[in-house]
Amino acid sequence: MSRHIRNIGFALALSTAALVALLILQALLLFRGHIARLGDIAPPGIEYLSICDDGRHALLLIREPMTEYRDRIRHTLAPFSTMPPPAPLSLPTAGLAPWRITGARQAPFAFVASKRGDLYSLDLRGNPAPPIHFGRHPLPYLKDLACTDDASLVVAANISISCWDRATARCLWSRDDCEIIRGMFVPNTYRFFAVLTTGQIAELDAHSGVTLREFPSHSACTTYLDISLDSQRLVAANPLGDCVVSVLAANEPLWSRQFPSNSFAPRFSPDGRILVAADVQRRPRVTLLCADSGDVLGELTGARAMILGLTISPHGAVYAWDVTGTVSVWDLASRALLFQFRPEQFK
Amino acid sequence: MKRNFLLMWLFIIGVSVHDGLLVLSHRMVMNEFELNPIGRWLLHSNGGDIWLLLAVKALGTLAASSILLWLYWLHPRLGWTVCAGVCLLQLTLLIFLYLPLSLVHPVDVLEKRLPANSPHFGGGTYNGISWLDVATQ
Repeated sequence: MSRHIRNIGFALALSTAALVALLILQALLLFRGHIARLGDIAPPGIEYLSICDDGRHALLLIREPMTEYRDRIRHTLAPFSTMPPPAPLSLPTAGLAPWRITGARQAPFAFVASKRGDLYSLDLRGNPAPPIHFGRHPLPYLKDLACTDDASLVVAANISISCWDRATARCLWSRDDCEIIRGMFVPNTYRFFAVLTTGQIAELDAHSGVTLREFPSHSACTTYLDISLDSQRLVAANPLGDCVVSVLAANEPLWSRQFPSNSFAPRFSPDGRILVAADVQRRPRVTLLCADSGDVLGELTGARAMILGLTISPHGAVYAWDVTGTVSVWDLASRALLFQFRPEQFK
Repeated sequence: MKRNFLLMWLFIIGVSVHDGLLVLSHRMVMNEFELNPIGRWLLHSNGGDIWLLLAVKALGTLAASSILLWLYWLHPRLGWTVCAGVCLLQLTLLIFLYLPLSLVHPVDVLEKRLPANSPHFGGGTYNGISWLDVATQ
């Protein structure tokens, strides 16, 4: 017995020595840069921009700079009015620790999820009102938050999905058997589509959560999708820069394209004829592609650095945010740069 | 101790250490990209901090590698077989860690978050947002 204990003790000592030796070796040879940067200040970043209220308002989710490596990730909200002249909105969001946001395209509401999974609605109409808590997703750290254009339904998702009715603050359904990477409601409808972790795209019934159909995305490792306003076309993309546009009803691929950047975030224009995507060719730009053929129709220039994401208002204003924290806004029809701004976190 | 066993045993510890260092270097996005349910639970129960996950990972590695050694000393053939099995699992983990979905995304997110050349822009500050080049419309 004592021999076994002695052997186990010796094995433990040998294991510890091997672990420490391999740790030092790998830290020096493979992770030197990362280890050296452990104490660096992490810069702020714009995580998401959501358009609300028929393009009259928008909401920014900003990741705060982290001064110490032990700092937790913290976000703040920066709502603003897009009506000329554009101006920041004052909303009483004190005490709210946002993690994910989404905005209703046709209604003056935005939605915020906290780290713990608490769901809040923000009323963007005239008088500033505090956030209203209307539910809690069963699991923390949401991957995605989506809502219908009229702000009536909100879907929260990570390894489980829950759907909420804003007006009654009631959970309509939840599922634990379906993990999604990204989900969205088709504009002006209650049709909910999601990229599953299996790589398939699924349409879920918004009122019951039942899977109506599943179909392939025609792109490996799909993590992103957008559907045109007329529900005719679907674009699927992956972090490697592959982008495939297909006909939604028949699920037939129309064309595909490889982008040099992994953050090209393709979006359909409000009329569904143009696919707008961030691109880099000598300088950062937004490329306009024909949704039917993939032909290049033009570009939007004036972005100051690599674009991280973009979104389009119902009236065709293209919002793009870049690594410097600058938001650039173009008019899609005239292709003119309307305005640019930076939140104070980036000063 | 036979050389084959020693190499497999070191490989098991090496992959575990590598996984831990990846967690450390991608700590800002681990809450979003950790796929192991136990890992997720450890992250969540520690408020999103990675240190509990790393501690459990290190203790688990020490326990497993010690048991493998002890088993090998006790029954060399059985110890070798078990070690080969664990080694295969670690190889699978290593391959999985470098698959596009599990690694490319967090790395890219981190790269995207690096401050590029941060130019200084003018413009006034109003309610927490500094505006520049406003309204060329």
